[in-house]
Amino acid sequence: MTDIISSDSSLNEDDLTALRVIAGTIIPASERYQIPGADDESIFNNIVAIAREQGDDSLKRQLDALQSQCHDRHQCALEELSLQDRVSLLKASGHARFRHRMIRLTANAYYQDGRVLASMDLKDAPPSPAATMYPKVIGHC
Amino acid sequence: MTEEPVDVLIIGAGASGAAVAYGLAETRMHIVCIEQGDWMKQSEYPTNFMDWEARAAGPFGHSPNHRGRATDYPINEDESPIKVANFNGVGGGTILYAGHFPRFHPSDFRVKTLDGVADDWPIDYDTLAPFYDESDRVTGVSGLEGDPAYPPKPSLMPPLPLGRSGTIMAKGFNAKGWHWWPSDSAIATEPYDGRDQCLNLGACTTGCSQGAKASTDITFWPHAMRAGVELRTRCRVREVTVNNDGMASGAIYYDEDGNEQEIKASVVIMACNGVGTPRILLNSKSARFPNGLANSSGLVGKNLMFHPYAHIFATFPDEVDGPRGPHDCIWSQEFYETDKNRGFVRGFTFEGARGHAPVSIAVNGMLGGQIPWGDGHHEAYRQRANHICGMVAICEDLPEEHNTVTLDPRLKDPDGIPAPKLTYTLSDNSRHMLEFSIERAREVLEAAGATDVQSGYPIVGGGWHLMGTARMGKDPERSVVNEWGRSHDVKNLFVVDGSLFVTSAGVNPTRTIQALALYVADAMKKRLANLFD
Repeated sequence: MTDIISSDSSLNEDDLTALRVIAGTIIPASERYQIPGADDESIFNNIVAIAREQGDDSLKRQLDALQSQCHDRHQCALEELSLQDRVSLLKASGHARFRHRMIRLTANAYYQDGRVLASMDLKDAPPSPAATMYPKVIGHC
Repeated sequence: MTEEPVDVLIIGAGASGAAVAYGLAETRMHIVCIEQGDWMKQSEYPTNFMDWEARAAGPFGHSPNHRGRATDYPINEDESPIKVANFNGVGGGTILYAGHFPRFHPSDFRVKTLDGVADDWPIDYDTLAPFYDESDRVTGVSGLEGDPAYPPKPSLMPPLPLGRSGTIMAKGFNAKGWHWWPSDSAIATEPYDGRDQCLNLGACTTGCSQGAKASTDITFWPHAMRAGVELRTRCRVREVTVNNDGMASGAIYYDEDGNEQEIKASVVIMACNGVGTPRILLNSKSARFPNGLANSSGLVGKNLMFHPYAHIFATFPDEVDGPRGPHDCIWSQEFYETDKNRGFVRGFTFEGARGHAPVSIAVNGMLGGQIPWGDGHHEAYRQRANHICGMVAICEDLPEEHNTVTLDPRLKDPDGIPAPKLTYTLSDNSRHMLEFSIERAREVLEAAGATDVQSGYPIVGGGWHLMGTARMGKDPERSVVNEWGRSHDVKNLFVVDGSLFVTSAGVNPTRTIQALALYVADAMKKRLANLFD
């Protein structure tokens, strides 16, 4: 995982572990739909890339605070919590901006993944250059 | 460095700057346009990349404060519930606009006479009609002739397809017996003037990588430049200069390397939008004009108008278009004209929206609580993906002098030029209109079979339309420029952008901005021999 983080990144191994756990908490894998969670290696690499592009200083502070909160409340690391407890902790973390950022980061990486899009019959490609042909509309206006 | 004076200096290369350059090009004067941004490349637009939604929220985002491009300037928006959406580059806001391309109604020019509010424009629809036609020819407008909401107007290309979303919503309007019509769009549905036709790529508001959407960098500008107009990028204007006679003499700007430059000109035309133009005029203080240039009325920067938007979306059992295809499909102007029984004056347009893209559905759904984290995420997402469509209501905003663009005392751009500060409040009239629009839209969507209608107002990041801050009029005490765009105070200074607007109408302004710029250019051409009298 570290090969995707440049030497000037402020995110350390613990931060990346926490970030990956959070991503998988927000969007877990689904057996029913045969799709990975957002903690999948390829998807997570994209999450980190987007985070780096946005600048990760504040993200690091927020991750540190969450991990401290986890230790205070549960006396364990984030990744040791059940999915339900992780969701509860994140929702109770009191940092709306952090939650919003994690949602945006995770969704941006997850819903551009070809496997995920293909599972919904969405195009596994950028919008351009392929044309979209409108299906024939049944009925009248 | 000071170069030889040019005949005409245009500041800003967006919708209005492009149109006025095109309009004046046939004079063969030495016309130079300076623009703070860059030329855009279609190959760099987000839709060429898998992470297009992330790019659309980043370097192609609509907020200059969040986009962070070197070519942007910051705006203090802390005292405005609506935040500016713009783009700084050749093409300006048309790079990122949706291409909604309605005209004003004839009534929009006469709101004082008809409704006793605001002011009438000093010109009317018929005056502008030939310039709408000319703008339409250069732009390439798709639509369907015969819209009963308008006087007859030509459509140059067939309308965009209704698609699933447009058809569903049209059924809702039909069930209510309310007006709807295929939208006029600045999107080519056939090859047009060297541009290719729309392929329904979607994501028009991130830049059209197909080149079908009529951003002015690919419509007016190529024609203007072929006719000899010179366009220089990366020139950020600090102030318009004046000479001892009180006439505009050119501008001081910073080049790409931050070096101060001066350009002299016989005529200066402001085309920087409803925030950028007052900013520069207010920054152009001198002993003769201590309150800023062209500001003897005190109205430069006042009467700022946005279009407050409501958004109303819903989930449908049948699949909709989602992100596939242009945003534009149908509009309704059932509630455009004043009916005082509604509790407000003036009105609004409903603009249908085909749906949302994958990331947007997830983000909006999770932030709004409709899509859970963890267990149940995928099921909830799939119930919404390609099943959400709806509309926005674009509401007429009436001018109020307390809504302003001023200079921020502390905030500056990277060249040290004072940045604009917005002070804006949503009026009671607007609130009543927005709430009324939401209720009517809900009726339409439910009549079309929708469940789970979600709505809100205003669209916080929806300050796409910046108007009214250097209004036109015949009375120098009640307006900044005269009825053909010339400053009352400085007789070789013109304004051609949305600042001119006396009222905002309940439609997108770009078609009118371009028509006004062509109208001002025509007025100048007709008066070349005595332009400064």
